[in-house]
Amino acid sequence: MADPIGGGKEYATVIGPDAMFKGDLSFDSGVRVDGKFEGKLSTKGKLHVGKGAEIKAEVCVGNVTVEGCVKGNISAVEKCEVAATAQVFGDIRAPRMTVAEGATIVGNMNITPDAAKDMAGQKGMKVEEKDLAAAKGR
Amino acid sequence: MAPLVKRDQRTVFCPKCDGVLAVGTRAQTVVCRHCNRTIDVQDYTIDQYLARKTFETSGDVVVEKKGTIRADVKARRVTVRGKVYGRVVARDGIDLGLGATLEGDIEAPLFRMDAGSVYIGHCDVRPRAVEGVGPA
Repeated sequence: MADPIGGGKEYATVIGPDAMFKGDLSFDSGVRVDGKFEGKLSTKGKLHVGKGAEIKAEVCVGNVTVEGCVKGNISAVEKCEVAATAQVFGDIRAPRMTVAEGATIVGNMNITPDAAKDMAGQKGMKVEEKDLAAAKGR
Repeated sequence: MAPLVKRDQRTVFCPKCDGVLAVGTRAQTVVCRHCNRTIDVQDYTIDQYLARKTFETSGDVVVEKKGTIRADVKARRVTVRGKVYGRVVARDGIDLGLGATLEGDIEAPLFRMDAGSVYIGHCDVRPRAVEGVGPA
């Protein structure tokens, strides 16, 4: 029976329901996780966390749809969708977010249009602060 | 033990002690028989600027597009289409509509959020997140 939400063909990489992965993963395109994942996950594309999935990781993605369990912080550059069956324990940072009734969310949330700019320019901001601190010390 | 509810009554929960009360459908304020404090049982629709320390009611609170609340809010159900700055605790759920802004911690069993709304704060949304079920 085809999955109505995000079929397997949409995602170049799929971690199946019987798979368990531990480590750092980074992708350019979309990834769908239906099994267990532990570590760090980053992709410029879309991440789909399936219903039975369990993720204990730092997530840095372009788009994310959560239907399963995520324990860790989520940073999305474009959008974060939390379905009714989702459980998220961690901080969420995204410029846009939708939450369906029934979801479990515990953590700090920063859902503002500026969140994407902050994430994109974070490296630049750190350099400026160091320069300012060094300039003050002289 | 839940009180018997007559035809022209409704069941509300005291926001102070979470006690269960049966009140008339037209009642605006009642004295809680559990904690003996006066509580507000009305539903509110806010379409103006409202600033207080706390804003508590056993009814529902709807903040319209032009409405702004600067207070800690405690109600049965909170629907935000405008702006709320403060902690929000809802017994039934919180609904952030399109274009809404909420800055503050939230605590509720249900939470719905539309894309385009702004939220900053700590979120504690899980079944039975509200403190206490009410005294027996």
